[in-house]
Amino acid sequence: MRLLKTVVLAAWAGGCVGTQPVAPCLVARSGTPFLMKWTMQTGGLSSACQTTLADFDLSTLSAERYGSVAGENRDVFLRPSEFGFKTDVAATALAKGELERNDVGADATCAVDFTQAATVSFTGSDAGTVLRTATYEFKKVTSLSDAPHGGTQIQADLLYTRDGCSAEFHGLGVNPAVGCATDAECGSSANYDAGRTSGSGILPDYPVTCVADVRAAPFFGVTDGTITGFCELQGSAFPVLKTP
Amino acid sequence: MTTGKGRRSCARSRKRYVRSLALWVFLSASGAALAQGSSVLTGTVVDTQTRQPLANVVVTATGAALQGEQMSVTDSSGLYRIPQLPPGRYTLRFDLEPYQPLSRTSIDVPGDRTLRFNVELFNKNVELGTTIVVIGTAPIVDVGSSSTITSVGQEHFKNLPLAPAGVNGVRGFESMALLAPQTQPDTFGVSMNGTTSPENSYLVDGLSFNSTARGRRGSDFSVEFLDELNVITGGYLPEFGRSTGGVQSLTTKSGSNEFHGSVFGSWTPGVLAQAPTQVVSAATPIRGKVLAWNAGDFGATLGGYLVKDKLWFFAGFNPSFSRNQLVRSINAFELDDAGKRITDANGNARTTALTDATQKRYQDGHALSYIGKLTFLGSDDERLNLSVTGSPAGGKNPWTTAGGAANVNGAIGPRSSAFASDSIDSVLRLNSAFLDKKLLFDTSVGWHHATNETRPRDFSTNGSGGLADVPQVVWSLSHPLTDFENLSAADRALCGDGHHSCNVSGYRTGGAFVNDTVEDRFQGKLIGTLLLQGAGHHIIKAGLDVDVSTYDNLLAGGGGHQYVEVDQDTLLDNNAFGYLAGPDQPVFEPSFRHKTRNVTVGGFVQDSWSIFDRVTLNAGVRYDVEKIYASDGTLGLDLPNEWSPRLGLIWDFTGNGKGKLFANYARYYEQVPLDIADRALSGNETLYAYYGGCGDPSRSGKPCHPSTLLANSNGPNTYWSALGADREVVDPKIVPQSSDEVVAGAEYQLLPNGRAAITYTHRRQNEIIEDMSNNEAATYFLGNPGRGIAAGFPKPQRDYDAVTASFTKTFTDFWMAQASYTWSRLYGNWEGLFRSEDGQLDPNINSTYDLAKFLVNQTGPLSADQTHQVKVYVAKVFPISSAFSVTLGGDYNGVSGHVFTARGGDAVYGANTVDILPRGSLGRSPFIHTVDGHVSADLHLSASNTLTASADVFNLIGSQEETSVDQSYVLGNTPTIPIPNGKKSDLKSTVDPRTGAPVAAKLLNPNFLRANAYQNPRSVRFGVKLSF
Repeated sequence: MRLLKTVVLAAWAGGCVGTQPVAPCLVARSGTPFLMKWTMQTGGLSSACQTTLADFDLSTLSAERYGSVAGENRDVFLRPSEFGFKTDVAATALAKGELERNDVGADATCAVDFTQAATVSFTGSDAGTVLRTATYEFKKVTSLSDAPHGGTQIQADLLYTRDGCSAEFHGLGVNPAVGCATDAECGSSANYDAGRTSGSGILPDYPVTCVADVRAAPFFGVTDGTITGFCELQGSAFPVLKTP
Repeated sequence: MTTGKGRRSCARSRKRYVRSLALWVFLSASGAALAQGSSVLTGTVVDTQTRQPLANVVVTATGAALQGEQMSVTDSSGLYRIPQLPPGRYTLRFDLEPYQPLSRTSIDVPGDRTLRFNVELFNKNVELGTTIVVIGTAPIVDVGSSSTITSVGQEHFKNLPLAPAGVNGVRGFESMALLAPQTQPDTFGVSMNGTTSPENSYLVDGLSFNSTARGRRGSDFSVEFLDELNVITGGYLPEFGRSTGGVQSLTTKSGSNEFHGSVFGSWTPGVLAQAPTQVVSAATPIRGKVLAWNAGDFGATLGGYLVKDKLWFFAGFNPSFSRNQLVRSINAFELDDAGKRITDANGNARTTALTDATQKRYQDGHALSYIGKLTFLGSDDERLNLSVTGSPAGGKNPWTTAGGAANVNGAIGPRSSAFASDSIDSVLRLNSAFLDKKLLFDTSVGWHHATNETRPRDFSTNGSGGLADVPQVVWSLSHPLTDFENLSAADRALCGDGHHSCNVSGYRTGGAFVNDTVEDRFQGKLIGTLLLQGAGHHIIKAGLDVDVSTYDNLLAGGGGHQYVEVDQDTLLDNNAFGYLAGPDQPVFEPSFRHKTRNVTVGGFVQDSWSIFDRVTLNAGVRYDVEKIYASDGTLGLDLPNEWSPRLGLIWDFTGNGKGKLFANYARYYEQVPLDIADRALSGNETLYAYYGGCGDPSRSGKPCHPSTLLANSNGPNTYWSALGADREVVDPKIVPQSSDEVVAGAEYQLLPNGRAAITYTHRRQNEIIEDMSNNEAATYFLGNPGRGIAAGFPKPQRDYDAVTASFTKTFTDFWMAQASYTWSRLYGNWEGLFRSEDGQLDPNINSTYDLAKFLVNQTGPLSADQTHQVKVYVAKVFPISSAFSVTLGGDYNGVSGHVFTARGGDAVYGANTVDILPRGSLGRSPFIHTVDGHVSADLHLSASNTLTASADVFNLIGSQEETSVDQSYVLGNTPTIPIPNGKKSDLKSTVDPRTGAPVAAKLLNPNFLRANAYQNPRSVRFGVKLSF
């Protein structure tokens, strides 16, 4: 009976339009981090705190959704990292959230609500010395998770606290974080003529340009001058997409 | 988005669908019948003197295949038409008072044909006498169809050297499809018109036995059980669908009112087999060779009646076996004082064989093929058939084999396997006729069931304590062979004397893996045929076709882990079954199992319109919708709107069925196999991590200890990464995979029972379905390359053009012949459902399109492009006396070579993923000649008893040309940058992207462009058969 029902439904529904399954909610699972651009949302911050938090304009953020395909686990963990410091791999340096739903919504996005803030101890080359401690209290992270994008662009609302200064930030992130010297190196496709054997990994409909930044070379561990900046999203309204 | 107009359209189509479904249910419930055959005998009857058409002539067809007789009556235009004839030899009789009865014997009717036989009747008042037997020419040109069909029947089986023993010794059917022009063997079967064999439709008694998982042939059938194999390479009507290749349609034997049967046996002794050419690899000191040892089969068939004129049966069994000897030897490379290999004058590495290291093991296979078939004639208008065929099989492979060579680079544990398989195909068919046979119904229901268990050599599975529980390690770096094998003191001394190298890489140790699969295909088909008159004669057919397929795939073994050595003392666990429950919280699964299914519902309508008895217009359309469900039961891929128009025009320019000009257009759609649901739509959950100082888990039998994990990420996970943990997303605007075909040609009866033909075929691939990544393998999606969200990928191209000239002489006057020459061109960037580079058979998710960069240099002559193809099959019977005859038969197959290129690796995808030079840049393999011979002696013991002894020699001239070469320019996974439009002279400047410099000499493959497979060596098969 179940078989007959399946056959009838297949012929009935399929005869009109093809309805592909809704994409699952993802927040990039590629193992490489997002490059986050942060904009302070809090006004009236003291000048001391403005100075303290002035370098929090760009950072990286690793993300992963957990659980089996068949399961109901919607846990998402984020591990923040800041340029010039070693990544804190402690469990307390992870922010924990949960996707609001399993599959992507009509607006092509998925939202994550957070239940655990990340307290991150940053060290330099001397791993034993903590140089700064920051708390990341994410309010909400939204990923662009439809079929073409698969969770590779996010926006985040964050309460960031460091050295007694707190401010709310809004961030836009693109995955993966890519180092560059020219705009062409941010391109999604390999260019063998130009000696590029791989594309950047950034999707072709994301408007990105190479923005010079002295933090890039040490972040990627490249000191020969071939990396001078990051491939950054150009735009502010999430999702940031090229004009068709 | 569905518009209001679209919704109304949907509502209408749903109403129509409900009406159709109701009709189908009604007819099924009321016992409407299934057809037995699909051929038609037609023609006109006229008065000899007046030349006027004669109405009401009773035309009766009788034949052994018919179990009774079929009758028709001519209409006012003198036309008769006897449809639904199974393949066989018929006698036609024409009766009308006061005309003299007329009969014509020996009309051979293959399957799926329309043959015209026009007759004239004599008025008794003019010339009296008894029944006149017409000695004229039997019709052999199919004037009702623009399909390109080759039929292989009993006379072919008996008189030609066909069907050499295959896997498990079965004399299977598929190699016989190679008789047809425009066919050639590929890795998984027989390719037609430039397509890949898994694109074919395989039918037995009208229903599919394609593998539900991967599209290839899902069962094998002994030739002893077959009445006929019809090979339809193109131009087929809407009643055939769900295939972008060709059709191989099998008809099993049936019983009749006479008892007939056979007792038979065959033996292919290894002692008479030619020694195969040794494949010598410059990349490894370990060599393998496969020597034919023994193959054979025996069995019996019996057909007859249980109730005369009412109930018939056919039954048979056919056990078979095969044994090969696999010889593994070690040949140390000779080194000069500088430690470099010494080569001979031809550039081949000089080697010294180790004296005590040769191993010999047997590869065994066996099968038991069987058939049971019942035919019940309810009335003149109702016939019921039930057939059940099967072939349980099993065997052991010490070391795996590929291309005739043994894959021996490893210990026997991980390199060997044992298997057990089974297949059952059952078909229940009912055909019935109404309105004086002007309305016919064919209804079929069937079940294809196939199981396969591929296990370690001890046939263990996970948790049983056998080889399936032992981790496997691939030692990628170069190691002395003595690290792995216990060589004799003398051999150890040779390997370590500084002038010889016994180092190996890619060596495997430890356990092996388990792959258990179960495939089921449930099918139902209803075809109604209506014969009408109106501006000519119509055969209108309409049908419904339902297919529910399932695929249960279990992967286990290796103790759940496969480790790959990536650096000194560093192992990558890259195949651990499981998922991450949280950061670095792996949940290991003992196995990986998915149960997936698809539902395909379709229908068609077609009209074969015979206009003025000279022109036939075949027009119709087929519609299919396929829904593919993931392992959790959710819809994974929805492929509706598969509209397949077909249009054919045939002009019988002779007016008497002796010649035709024809042209045909068709669109074909693929039925997507379930591998895509198993691997892409259900997730493919595996974990990977790196270990340092783990030791050898294949020796300890235990996975690496977690304390040896190496930090590998600064993400939420420090050690573990998940791979395939998500279902692949689908482009919302994805469309089904299809191709278009145009066939045109001419056919003319040159001799009695001999016809010549010339055809032109053009096939063009439209859209394809593939999985792709836009972000360097970070995420994947399913779509159509070149459109939608895959617009950045190159459009698929597979263009096939062919011209074939052929001659066919059916078996009459003691001889038969079939000869063809084909010129063809197959060009593009997409081969089909498998990759020839590495044999990857993951239909619609092969790696070719995974990254756009892999498409660089892919456009060119495809691997199946073989420009010239000559096929000649001839047999002649020499009657020595009334009781004794001798038959000589043989064939010649000549085919020009495959194209070569140079391939390199990719950092992520590994070996052979990058075409360094454009396809075909390095020339072609040599022209291959194959000659086979057959001789048999028939002793006619009585009118119906014949004892036959036969001998077949395959590859009579012992040709040992290379059929494949190693196209890897670099060793292993060495990454390379392709050279767009590069030439052979550019090869030496191939760049390793890691260094930005030309690939280091030590990373170049010393085996590049050396043969890695040769033609099958000569073998001799003896047979004996008592037919009664």
